[in-house]
Amino acid sequence: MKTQYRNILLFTGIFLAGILLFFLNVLLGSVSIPAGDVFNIFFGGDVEKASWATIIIDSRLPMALTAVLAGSALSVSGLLMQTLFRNPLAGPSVLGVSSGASLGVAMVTLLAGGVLSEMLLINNVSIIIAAFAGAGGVIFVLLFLAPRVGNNIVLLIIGLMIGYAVSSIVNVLQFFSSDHDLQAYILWGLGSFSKVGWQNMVYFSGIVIAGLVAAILLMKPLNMILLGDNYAFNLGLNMRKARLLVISVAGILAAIVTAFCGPIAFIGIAVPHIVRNLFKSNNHRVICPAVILCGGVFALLVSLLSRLPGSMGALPVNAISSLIGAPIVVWVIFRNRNREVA
Amino acid sequence: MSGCAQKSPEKKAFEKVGAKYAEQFFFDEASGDIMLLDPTGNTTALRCDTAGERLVCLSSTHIAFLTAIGEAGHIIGAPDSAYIFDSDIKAKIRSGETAIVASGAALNEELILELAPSAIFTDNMRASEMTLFEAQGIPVIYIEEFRENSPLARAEWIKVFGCVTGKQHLADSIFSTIEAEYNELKNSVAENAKLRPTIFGGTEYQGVWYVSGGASYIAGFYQDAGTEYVFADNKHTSSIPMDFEAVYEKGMECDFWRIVFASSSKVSYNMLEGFNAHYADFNAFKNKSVILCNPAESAYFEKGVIEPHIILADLVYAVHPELIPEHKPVYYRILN
Repeated sequence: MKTQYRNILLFTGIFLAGILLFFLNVLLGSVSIPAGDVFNIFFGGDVEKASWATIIIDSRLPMALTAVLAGSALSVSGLLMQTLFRNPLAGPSVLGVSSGASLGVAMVTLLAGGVLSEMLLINNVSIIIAAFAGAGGVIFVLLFLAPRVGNNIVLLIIGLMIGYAVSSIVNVLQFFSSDHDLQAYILWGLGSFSKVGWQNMVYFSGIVIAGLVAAILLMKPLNMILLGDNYAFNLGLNMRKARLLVISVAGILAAIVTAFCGPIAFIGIAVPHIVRNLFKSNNHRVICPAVILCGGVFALLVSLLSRLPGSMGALPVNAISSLIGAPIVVWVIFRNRNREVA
Repeated sequence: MSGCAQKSPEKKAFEKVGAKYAEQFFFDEASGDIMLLDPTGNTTALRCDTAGERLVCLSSTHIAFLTAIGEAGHIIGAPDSAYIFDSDIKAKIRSGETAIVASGAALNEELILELAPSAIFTDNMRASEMTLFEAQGIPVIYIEEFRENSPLARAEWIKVFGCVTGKQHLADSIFSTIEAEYNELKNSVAENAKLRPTIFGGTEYQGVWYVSGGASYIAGFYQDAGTEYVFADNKHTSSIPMDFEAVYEKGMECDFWRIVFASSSKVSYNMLEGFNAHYADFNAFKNKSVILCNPAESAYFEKGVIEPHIILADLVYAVHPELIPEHKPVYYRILN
């Protein structure tokens, strides 16, 4: 009963922090807009500058929403991978899904004017489609191999190898690319929450929310997997089917975020650790919803910090997420170790 | 989206006029619109005189083009000043009249929205970041002069700037002057140069040497300056990575070695040898025939694109000094 009370308190606290961070994300940016004007923009009062409404409604608001969804999606994807492989270092990128997306983007940005030039138009949409196709290709290969490979460790190694192989192809493409094309590719690789915008929000949020719901539905089999393959089997779980489902959901969540926001590295590995330590639980009925919540809040924090420094634009999301995430994870783990000793 | 930039699926249904050298844009004779080709070959129609008077440009070459047609005063947003040579724009940035809207990879989207520009000049690299502005109805003009494969074709993009700012005639006449001076010198070299010395270019980096393609605009300069490019036998329009030894073997015998090397301190032969001791084996090194451009000292990457006639004269002066003895080098000079 006591842990339940504690969990409700934690959920409420993190949720409120998330709301606060969401408002700060809308309120703060490189152009300073007074809070009163921000209020007026939402509730129909007079605004000093017309451009401010555009900045708030069309730039900051979709960016904050994207951060929440992307953070949740990556974190859940990471959690599923960590549970499936019983490996604390697993993350959304571990099966080569983000590498697959990178290869897709590299094909479009770096091979433009070459092989793909007649078929594709280099713009937002083609980059998203290419990334999703690349990630989807890797997921497809994994789903094909998974039933044929009994051991999860072997599957993990295959995933890592796919990742290495695909990255090498990207390297070769980079080597032969002009600096303009390279820059386009690097821009994508830095990660950004700003490219979804309202025009793509329907697709992005639709797929992410579907994936999150699927993850919630997987809570029970995930708990069984945690007990070990033999236990899971004895409890009546169809291990093969469960494994395919987990890989599909985790893969699609990672793929959609990578396609729209670039390869955002750290969130997926870090948030499940933070959650497990905060909630002191391995029960997916608790940590799965908690990871969804914390992932969104963590991404909001990252998004806010990456746009704070002074007047100039934004720092890459990728850099900030690792920069603030790494110490947090180390701190959380250390704190728990010390308690165990004490 | 406003009526000035509509994507059109048809590629070749237009009467192509107005672009003599450039291949990435042409004018549609019927409508007078300018047609820009993106890297995939699709065209975007651009109505003339639509850029307005609040211009944001995201590359320093755009500043050079706009300055040349007297539109510099309308630039309200520019990329980071560290890469800008133009003293007027630098002064305007200092006074706050012109805002810095991009530094390196980072684009300040909010600031651009606040500036409420009447047009944004960029290239396709940033296409994915432009959807926000296009959704606001701000015309985004994709300038892709760097995809042209001859010096005059790159300079001809001044016509695109002239068209959108309503200064078509001025731009045309500026280009005609550039073209006339370039071709006059080119023809004079072809007639009067007694021999065609061999040339190669670039430097090694981590074992790799990026060599200008045989069909690139650099190869065009080599040809027009009356030199024999030793890597002219490939058909590449961009740079190709080559092994150091492949370049070493061919470059060793060359009469001239062209390098673009940004350095805040004075470049010397000792300095070059410090980077790679094998450089000293090159004929051009031994004979002090290195042709150097230091982009930290000249606006090569900014203004060079609209001064191909001056770059050509620099090269001719370095290789055939007797043909234009009065020339004062601007971008390239023989390293002493």
